Amino acid sequence: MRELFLAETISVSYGKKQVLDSCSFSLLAGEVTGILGKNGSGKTTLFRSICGQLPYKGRFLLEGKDLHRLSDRERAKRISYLPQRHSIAFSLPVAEVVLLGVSPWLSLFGQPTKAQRQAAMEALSQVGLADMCHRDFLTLSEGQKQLCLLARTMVQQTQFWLMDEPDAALDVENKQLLFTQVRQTVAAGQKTALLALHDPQLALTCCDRLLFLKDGALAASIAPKTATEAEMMAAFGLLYSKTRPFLRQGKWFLDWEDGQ
Amino acid sequence: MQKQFANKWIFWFGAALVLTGAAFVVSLCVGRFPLSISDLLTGQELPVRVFWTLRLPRTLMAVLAGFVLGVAGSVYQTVFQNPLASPDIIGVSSGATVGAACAILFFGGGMAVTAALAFVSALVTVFLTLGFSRLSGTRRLSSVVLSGIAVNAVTQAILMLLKLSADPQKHLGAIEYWVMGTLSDMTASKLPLSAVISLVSTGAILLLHRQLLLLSLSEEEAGMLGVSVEKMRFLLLVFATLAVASIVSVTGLISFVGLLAPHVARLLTKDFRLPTMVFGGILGSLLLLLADLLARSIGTADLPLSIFTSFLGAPFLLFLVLKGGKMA
Repeated sequence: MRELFLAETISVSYGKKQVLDSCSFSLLAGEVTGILGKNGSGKTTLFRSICGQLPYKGRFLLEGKDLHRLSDRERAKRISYLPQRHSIAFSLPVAEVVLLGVSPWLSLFGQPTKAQRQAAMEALSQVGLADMCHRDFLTLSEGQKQLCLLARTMVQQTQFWLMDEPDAALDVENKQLLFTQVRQTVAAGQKTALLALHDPQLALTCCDRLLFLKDGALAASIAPKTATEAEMMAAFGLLYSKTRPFLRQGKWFLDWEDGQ
Repeated sequence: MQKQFANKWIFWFGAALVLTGAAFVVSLCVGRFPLSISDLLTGQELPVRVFWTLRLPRTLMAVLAGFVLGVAGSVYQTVFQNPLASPDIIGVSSGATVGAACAILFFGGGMAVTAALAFVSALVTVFLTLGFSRLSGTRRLSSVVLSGIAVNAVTQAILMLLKLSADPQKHLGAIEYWVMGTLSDMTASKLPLSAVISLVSTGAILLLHRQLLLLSLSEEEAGMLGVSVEKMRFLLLVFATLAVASIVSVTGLISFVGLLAPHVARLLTKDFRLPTMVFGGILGSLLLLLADLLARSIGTADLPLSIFTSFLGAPFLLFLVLKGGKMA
């Protein structure tokens, strides 16, 4: 598999406090990568750096192009970002929220084309919200809003999906819908996705590879499909001392001590 | 569902246009010198002259000013992500007032010089605000707001000094009257320049409505959808300021229209797109037409506009807020 995204010795500081310390990793086309870490480990800082919202040392390369040299528009044609919480404060029909995803592809005064409107409707169908296309986005449940934003991510047609705890507001059924959609689209389009997650079991279920971030440093990187039990124990032990990964019928599960 | 949607727009636009059209016709006829359609059709010299030189320009200015303030108000509220944002937030109003006060005090207070100085002063104030916020080196919205507060405070202090030095009999009243806005001095010669600047700026705002929509999101989310947040914010604020300054330099300050019209439009349509912006503009025109009608009909002399825009607008906004609260 070809390497799509490369982070080279990324360091970020808030004043004198070092939040990310020489983090290096790569993401492969067609793979979904999860990033695990406790609160304050630097996940959001890493995401904000990739988005160009924070100054950093090091280099981010997407298909060989340095992100630092890209304009906002060019970056948005390559990376889409699904925030943990949306910031839509005004009433808008659901279909229009999805169409915001085509913005990087429009000129300054441009309007979405018929084909783009159709693509938005298809994306809404894929996430099960086609019937709600005219509804006010603000009246949707938090889970439906997140699915609507996933549809927006889909129409943005980028190679790299960046998702900050996308499951935060979803029930079990919608979680499954979201992650299935992400996996299918990433695999079919040879894209790559980086997901910040808090639930290690969910990460094991839906990610091809896992990055473990601890105190601002990348502590481990494993691919569950090929990892040995010892490697899994070592990686998960870094963050979750009370867990024990075990393999059952070709799938990894986590056993929590003390009945957790 | 699509049909329901179209019906909603037809209803709101239809109602607003009919009411505005009716207010427009009444405004043409009512005033210190009443006009009737038969007077105009028979071609009597005085009514025709009053119509072309005074009444029509005044009524057109009311429509234009209301529309422009309504659309520009939407820009300020969106860019600052604050439903209470108005041109004051970056110093447009206070800057224009300082310019007008200078014109009244030092240049005789002629109409042309007052308009010119108010316009230039408003722009200088806004560019100072935006310039200081850029110097802070951050793209945060708060830096623009804080710069606006600082520049506003300085312009208010200058205004106080100007008022202190003003002759209470001669100049102070003129400054205060300017601050409350009026269309009574409106003539045909004043309309074209103001109309061209404000319409071009408003047209640019309407063309950039998708960018404005994106600016209503957080900086992070807007940036990741391809918007150069800082540049676009600057561009839209400059267009909105040009539009507002070109109006208030001629009419004096008109309060409440820019705040009220976009709010009412959004509350009624439950939408936030181009049609709602235009609808807000039409509501602004309607409000100003009605306010101007009252300003010239109550009392023997023309009263300031802001009294009536506030008296008409505030209860309606309160009604909508209370109704909305009950529905929620």
